[in-house]
Amino acid sequence: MGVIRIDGVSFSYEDALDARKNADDQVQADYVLDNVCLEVPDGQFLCLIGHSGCGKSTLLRLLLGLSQPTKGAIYVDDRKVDGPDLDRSIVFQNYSLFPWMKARQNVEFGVEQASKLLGRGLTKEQIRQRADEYLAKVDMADAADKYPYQLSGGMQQRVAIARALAMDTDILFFDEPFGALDVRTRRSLQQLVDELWRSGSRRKTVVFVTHDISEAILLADRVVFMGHGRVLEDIDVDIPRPRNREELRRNPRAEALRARLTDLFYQDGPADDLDQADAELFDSEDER
Amino acid sequence: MKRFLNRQFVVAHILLVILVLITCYVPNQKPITCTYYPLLVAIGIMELLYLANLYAKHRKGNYTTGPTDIVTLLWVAMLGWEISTTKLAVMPNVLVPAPEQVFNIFATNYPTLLNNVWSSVTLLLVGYFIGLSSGVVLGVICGWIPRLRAMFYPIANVMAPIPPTVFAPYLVVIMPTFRLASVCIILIGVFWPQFLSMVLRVSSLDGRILDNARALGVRNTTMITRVILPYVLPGVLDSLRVGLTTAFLMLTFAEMIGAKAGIGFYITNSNIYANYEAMIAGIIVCGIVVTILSALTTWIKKRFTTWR
Repeated sequence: MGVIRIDGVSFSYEDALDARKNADDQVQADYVLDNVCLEVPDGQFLCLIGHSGCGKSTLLRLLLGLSQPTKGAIYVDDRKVDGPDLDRSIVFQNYSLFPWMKARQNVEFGVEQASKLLGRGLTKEQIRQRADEYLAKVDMADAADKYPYQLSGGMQQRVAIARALAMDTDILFFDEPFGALDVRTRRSLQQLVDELWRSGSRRKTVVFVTHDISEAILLADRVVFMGHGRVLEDIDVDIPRPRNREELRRNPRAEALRARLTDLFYQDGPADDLDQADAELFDSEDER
Repeated sequence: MKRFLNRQFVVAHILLVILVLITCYVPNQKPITCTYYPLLVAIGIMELLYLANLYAKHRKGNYTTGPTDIVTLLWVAMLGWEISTTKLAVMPNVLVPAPEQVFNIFATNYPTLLNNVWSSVTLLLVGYFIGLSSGVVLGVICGWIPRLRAMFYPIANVMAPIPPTVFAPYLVVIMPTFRLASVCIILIGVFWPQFLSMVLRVSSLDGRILDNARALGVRNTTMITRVILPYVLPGVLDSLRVGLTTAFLMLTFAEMIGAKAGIGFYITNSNIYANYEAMIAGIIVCGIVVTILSALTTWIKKRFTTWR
C-alpha cells in the first residue's frame, strides 16, 4: 500500500529554530507551509507544481521525514511519519548519487538498505542481480562500473531512478529530478519514468515536484498547484495513457489545463517573481 | 625524442664531463685521505636517476624543462664544491669537507647510516599511523556529534597550533624510553591537525549528500562507514604527504635532543665530534628519506583516490 495523508500540515523555520533554542532574528516569520491538507490514494501519480519558494520542496522533505511539521501530521498507510523510512524512496535534483560509489554500487547500496531495514534478507548475489536488472531497465547497464563524475547529468539521474525503483518502495518521490537537464535529455527521462511507472507489476504512488507545466501534464494523474505555502488548485488530469507529446498538443483538455496552470503561474507569482515565471513558461514553450 | 636531447641537455652533459675530468685528473690542493670512487659512483647514480626520469617523461609524452634544469644546477653546484675545496682549498679545511670525503662516508659507514635510518623510519611510521588513524576516527566522531564537536573543536583549536617540538624536551624526560617519547611527539604533532581538519570536513558535509543518505534510511554506523568515511578520505589522502614529512621533521628534531639512535642522533652526534663530512652525509640521507616518503604518499594517493 502507499496511501499518503497530509493532515493540516504547517511548517515554519522560525518554530523549528525556536524548538532548538536557537535565536536568530534573520529567519522569516511566515509559514513556509500553511495548513496543507492532501490525500494521495494508492497508485496515484501526483505532480506538485508551483513557483520556487512556494513550499513544494519543503512539503517533500516533510513527506520524506527529513524535517518534522510544525503543526499537523503526515500519515503513510495510517502510520505517522516521524523520520525517513524505507517505504519511501526519492530521486533528488542534484547529488542523488554518492560520488564515491560506482553506478552499480549506488544501486546496490539502496537495495541493501531496503533489504536490511525491511527484513528481506537478500544475499549479496541477489542484491547485485537486482541492481543489474534495474540498471538495464534504465539503459545504464554499460555504465555500471563508472563513477558518477564519469556520467552526464542525465545518466546520473537514470541511475538514481534505477536505485529508487530497485528499492521497491510503495511510494516514490521526485524532487525536480530533471530541472538541471537539457530539453532532449529531459524528454527522454520523462518518457522513461512514465513507461517504468506504467509497466510496474503494481503501480506505485508517486509525488513528483516540478515547475514545468508540460512535464506535469504529460506525467500526472493529478496536478496540485501550490503557492504561498497553500494548495491553490487541485486538478485531476483525466487524459488517457499512454500520452504522447504530439497528441497532448492537440488535446483540448490538455490545452485547457495548460492555460489554467499558466494563468495560475502569472496570478500567483509575487511581482518580483514574474521574471522567473516567464522563464519557466518559456521553458515549457520550448518543449512543445 | 629530439625535444629531450636539446641544447640544454648537451650543456648539462658537458658540465658532467668537466666535473668528472676535474675530479679525476686535476691535482688536489687539499689533502684527501680517501679515494674519489664513491664520489664518482654518486655522480653516476644522480645521472642515472636523471636519465630514468627523462625517459619516463618521454614515454608519457609530457616534456618539461624541470629535470634538465635541476641537473644543470646540480653539476654547477658540485663543480663549485669540488673546485673550492679539493682542487683550490680556498674553504676552511675542517668546516667545509670535500665531496670525496662526504660520499666516502656512504661507502664506509653505510651500516651505521642504515641502522639509524631504520630506527627513525620505524618510529616514524608507528607514530604517524597511530596519530593519523586516531585523528581520523575521533575527528569524524566529534565532527558528527554536535555536542562533542562543541566541546572538542575549541580545544583542538588551541592544541593544534602549538608546535609539537616544544613538548619534546619534557616528553623525553617523562617517558620511560626514548622511542616512546618520539612516538608521542609524532602522535601529538600528527593528531591535532588531522583531528581539526576532520571535524571541519565532517561538519561541512554537503546537506544534499546527507539528505540523500538519510532518505535511504542510513543511520549511525552505516552513516559513518559508508558515507562519512568515504567522503573524508580524499582529504586524508591529500594531507598524507605534508603530514608524513612534518612527522619526520619532528622526529629528527626529537632525536637531536636525547636519542641514542636515529638519523637525527647521527647528525647531532657527528656535529659534536666535529665530523662534518658525516653530518653532511646525514643531511643528504634525510633528503633521500623525505623524497622516498613523499613518493610513497603520492603513490598511495593515486592508488586510493578513485572518484575525484
